[in-house]
Amino acid sequence: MRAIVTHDRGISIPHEAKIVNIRELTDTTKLFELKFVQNHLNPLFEHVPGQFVEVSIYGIGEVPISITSPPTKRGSFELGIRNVGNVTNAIHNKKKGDIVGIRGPFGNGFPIADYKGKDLLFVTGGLGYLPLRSVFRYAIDKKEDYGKIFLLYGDRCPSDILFPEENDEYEVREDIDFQCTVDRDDDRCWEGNLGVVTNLFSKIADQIDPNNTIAMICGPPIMYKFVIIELEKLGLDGDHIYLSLERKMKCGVGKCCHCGVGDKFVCIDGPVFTLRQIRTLPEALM
Amino acid sequence: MVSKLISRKKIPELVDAMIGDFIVVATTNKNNVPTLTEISSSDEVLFDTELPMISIKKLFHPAKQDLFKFNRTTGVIKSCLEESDIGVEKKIVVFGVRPCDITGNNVLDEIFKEYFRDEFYNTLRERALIIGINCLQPCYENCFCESMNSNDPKSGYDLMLTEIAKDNFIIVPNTDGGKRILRLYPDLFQEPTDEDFEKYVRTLELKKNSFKKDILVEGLPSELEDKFESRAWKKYTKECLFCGSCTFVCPTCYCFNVKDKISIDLKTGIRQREWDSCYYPEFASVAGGHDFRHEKERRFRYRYLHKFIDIPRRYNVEGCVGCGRCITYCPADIDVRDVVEDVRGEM
Ligand SMILES: Cc1cc2nc3c(=O)[nH]c(=O)nc-3n(C[C@H](O)[C@H](O)[C@H](O)COP(=O)(O)OP(=O)(O)OC[C@H]3O[C@@H](n4cnc5c(N)ncnc54)[C@H](O)[C@@H]3O)c2cc1C
Ligand code: SF4
Ligand code: SF4
Ligand code: FES
Repeated sequence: MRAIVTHDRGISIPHEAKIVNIRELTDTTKLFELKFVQNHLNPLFEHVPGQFVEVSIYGIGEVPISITSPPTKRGSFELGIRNVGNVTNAIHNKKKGDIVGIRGPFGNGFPIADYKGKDLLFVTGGLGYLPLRSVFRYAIDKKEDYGKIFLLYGDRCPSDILFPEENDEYEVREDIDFQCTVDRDDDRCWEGNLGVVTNLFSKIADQIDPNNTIAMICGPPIMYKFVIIELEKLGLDGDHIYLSLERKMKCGVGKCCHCGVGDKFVCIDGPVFTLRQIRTLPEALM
Repeated sequence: MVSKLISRKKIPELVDAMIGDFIVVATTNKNNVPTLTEISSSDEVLFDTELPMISIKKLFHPAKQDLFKFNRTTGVIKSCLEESDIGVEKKIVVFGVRPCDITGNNVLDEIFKEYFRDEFYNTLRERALIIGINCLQPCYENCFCESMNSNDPKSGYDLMLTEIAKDNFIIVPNTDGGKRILRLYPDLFQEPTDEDFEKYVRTLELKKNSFKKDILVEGLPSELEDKFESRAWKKYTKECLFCGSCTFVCPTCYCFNVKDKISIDLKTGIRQREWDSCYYPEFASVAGGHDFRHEKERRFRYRYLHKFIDIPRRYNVEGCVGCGRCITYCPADIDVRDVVEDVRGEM
């Protein structure tokens, strides 16, 4: 499924979308709900969880942002954006009703639909939560299609934790094993786990069936190395470990070469790769 | 047979006739370096000359390309494809393109149509007819097209001129567009005789013997892969100035950056793309300061691996066509052939 509704005028030309809702997630991260101005595009717009769009702030530039809402949400979509530079800052200054440009969705996404009946293990750190949210919310919406769901989430500090109210929901559900940790708790307001996300593996290790589990990972580059070690300890196969890579992107469509890793382009061949694929790509993990 | 014969002295007449019907681009001495430009008379054409500094890639993937105009609050006003000269009906004829540049551009054809058709490149490309001129011997000391199998392209051109005897050329069409040009100017061509064809066949055989291989590309990708940590990369990284010249003059380098420019009214602007270079420090760095290719050595190596491993694997074509431009224009005298041989030669 590669549903592209937004390139009828050429792949370089965005379509206008209106910000219909803004919610502050943390001090630096906001959630934007968007709808295309051309109304007929809204029902056509579909995505695979893990895909991204290119968001334009006209006059400032364009950035890749993952769709954080699940494909099961129709009619509008959500982007969670952290303010880290020129374009993301300009997005944060936008108000409800303002226009941004959208191209996409691009990239392959996580092949979750191929893994019906499997147990799913999600591991995420920091902003990696946002792309992965699209996947695990999809799996939760279609819970009857999947086995156990494990969700391990680590962030820097309690105030950075994304979607705490949704996490509380997962926490109380029997069919989801949600584990969360923070690196530090300077204000001493946190009652949960302290330390890095890999510490959480010991809590679920005895429930993981390595032959029936698909792992999906998204987080900062540094996290991958350690998470991979844990997954291999659990006995997961390289074909059953999916990682989403981050790279600089300019075009999103395999032309500008900024996102090149070996003979792959993260924007069109990725951002999601299996661990086995990644092992053949020089400089993929670092 | 649809091929024709044309004498050397009729070639300027052909060029001038085409100027009446097409936009004609050829190698001229503009700015005192061989440069591809639109011409208004055959007098401007440098016919028996070295390669233009920048290959035909600049005609389809210009150094700067306007993408669209926008209003900062309401969004896209208009794609730049819809206006300016890009959309005009008149075809472009590029006259006198060397085989290596034709082969090089075939690489860009693959890239700009893969997955998503790039509307700018492809519109410009589809509008062009290419008249090639065969090389019968290496054109200069930096050429190694034979090594890269690039001097006998099977596609990517419409007509090919081959000099079969002093002052006589066989002109062979490779597409319907090429045949159309031959039909447009019947008075300038003659029917080749059997003897002309024999000469043509002999010329092509002689051509084969005039080129030798500098480097062997068979097995090169996996050899380079094994030499990922070679010390030779370090040695050349120290010499390289990271000026990017080699990437700009390379017919198969195409990477670009995208920028928004705001107009003087502060309300509207234009999105542009412009050539970039993987040798520049910001190429792979992202917000927050992380750089996926921070060490210079990684940057230096990436260009070679991309040309000699990634492009062949991904698109099934050579990523370097052996035109030698990167050697000619490198201020640090780095020779791509030496780099490849040093890396693979190291134990
Ligand atoms: C596939 C993918 C999905 C992403 N999803 C999200 C998300 O859901 N939420 C979120 O907050 N961020 C996400 N990012 C990161 C986001 O793209 C960058 O934070 C953003 O590009 C920074 O742009 P800037 O102009 O604010 O920063 P500047 O430092 O001013 O960046 C200048 C330009 O460099 C490029 N660039 C810089 N950093 C990155 C980067 N990390 N990745 C790609 N291009 C970059 C952009 O073209 C940007 O305009 C994602 C990145 C990728 C590759
Ligand atoms: S032209 Fe020479 S010095 Fe400049 S970046 Fe290329 S190899 Fe380095
Ligand atoms: S790498 Fe050098 S020799 Fe090869 S095609 Fe590019 S400019 Fe020509
Ligand atoms: S972002 Fe341009 S090639 Fe991937």
